[in-house]
Amino acid sequence: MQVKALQSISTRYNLGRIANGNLAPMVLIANGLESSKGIQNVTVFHDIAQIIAAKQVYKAFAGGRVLMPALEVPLKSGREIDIMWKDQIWEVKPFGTSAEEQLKAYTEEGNYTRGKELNPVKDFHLYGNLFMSVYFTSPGVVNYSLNLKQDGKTTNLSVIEARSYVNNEYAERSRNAGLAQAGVIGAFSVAGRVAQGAGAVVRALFKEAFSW
Amino acid sequence: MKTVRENYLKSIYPIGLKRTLIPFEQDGKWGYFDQEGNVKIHPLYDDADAFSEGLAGVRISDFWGFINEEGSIVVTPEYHFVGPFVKGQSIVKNSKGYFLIDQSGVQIKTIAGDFEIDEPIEQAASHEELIKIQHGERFGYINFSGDIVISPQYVESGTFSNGLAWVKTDQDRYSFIDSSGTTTIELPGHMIPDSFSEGMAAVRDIHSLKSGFIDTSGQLIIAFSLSNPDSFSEGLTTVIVNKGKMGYIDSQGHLVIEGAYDEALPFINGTALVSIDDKSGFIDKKGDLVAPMQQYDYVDIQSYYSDSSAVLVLQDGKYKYINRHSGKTIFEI
Repeated sequence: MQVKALQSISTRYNLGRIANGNLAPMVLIANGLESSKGIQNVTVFHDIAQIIAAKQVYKAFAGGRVLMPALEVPLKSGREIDIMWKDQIWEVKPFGTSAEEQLKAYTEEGNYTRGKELNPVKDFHLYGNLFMSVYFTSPGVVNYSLNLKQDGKTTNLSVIEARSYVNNEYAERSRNAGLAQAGVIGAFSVAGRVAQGAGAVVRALFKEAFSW
Repeated sequence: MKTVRENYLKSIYPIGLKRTLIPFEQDGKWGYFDQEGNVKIHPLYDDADAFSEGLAGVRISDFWGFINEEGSIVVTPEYHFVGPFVKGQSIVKNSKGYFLIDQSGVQIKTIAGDFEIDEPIEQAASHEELIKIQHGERFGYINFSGDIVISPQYVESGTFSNGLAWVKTDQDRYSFIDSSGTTTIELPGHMIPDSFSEGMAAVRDIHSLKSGFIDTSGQLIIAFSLSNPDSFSEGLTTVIVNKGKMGYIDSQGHLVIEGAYDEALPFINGTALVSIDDKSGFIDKKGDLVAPMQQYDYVDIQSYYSDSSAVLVLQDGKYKYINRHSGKTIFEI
């Protein structure tokens, strides 16, 4: 995902403008879920984990002030720090991969310290039956896992498996919803205003509009 | 690393305050410059907030106090946290809890209750809305007098704007409440809202993932056909139009700026930052470039969201503030 979009979503999420249930769909779509090929890049899960972890940083350190953790901060070497709060830094990785080489390089290049270990976020709902857990596993390290909860079982997925699941689930839902996916893509049309009946209750309106 | 913080995010909650002095960091210390880029208060402080009602919170070592626009300390740094001044009062916190102080630093009220403030007070102050608080795993709201108005009861909640806040109940459903805590808009279980802005809130259908907009009475005013709309700002909002490109729609749902951009941010002070490939520039509401496309290594989103004309960027290894209406450099750090 583009860096400014990532930062913008993170800021709005930190400020309580975006609900938890909206975060993953927002990032999935920004990463191409609605395109004809679906999501191609597995870094979509890194983006989500980064935003979730950044909110933990925000809640831990900002304390009721408008002051956001910085994401994707560029260094002279061309490397980018995933999350920065003042001199504290964190690297986001899926479980099973090491952040050591990057953290070592960052701290050698600048006057940074490995970020504090903060509270985890467990079983954050992404899409369908897919969930993410985000842990601050050691100083400066954020690890995430992807879990499919289906038929009473929990299965750990790789980022590639999770990407496939999301793309397939979206395609199936689109078919079920009667949306010809190819027809939706590229066919931007915004319906005009709904006639404004005074006192109409949204619940009734939604029932009518979404009986399908 | 230079960072900047601007404490009012206009695109998210427009405010009427005229920003006079802008905090900036230099060699680890914070000071203030004016809109023309002149340093008005030299970098002396370990941290610095924006000015409100003529005073700004500054941190010396571990404690916060307030300075005036001449840079003189008017409230002794002795607090772990200070909010902005609103109607002559600021919510502050020390080891004993939250208090209200006046502009001379006198504690005028102890704020009772076991909770933590869970949103920037500046955000609530900009709309004179309630302030979100958290107690354990539950969320509620206080007013600026420090009274608990809506007790912590929601499993998730948003910030108030346009007099409404989204909340999620134990029944796993979202709705909007007003400042008395009364539910005014109930949403079906498959609908997830964003916060209101300019009288409209995006609501996403989690089946199709498409979004529409409702007004504060709960009426659907733009149908569920939008991909990833942002909040409305200055009458427009971004949407993904096709092939991942972004454009802008108006409050009628009409596409007014074609989807030509890889990235597009909200309009603030009449311009919006857009990007194509690795270059970014500012456009006006006609979609015309007012600041030419250039390659920036980094754009500080927090400064972008402020209501000042200055946006912090990194270009050719140098951090500098540029004017959002011309792209010209205001101030180099």
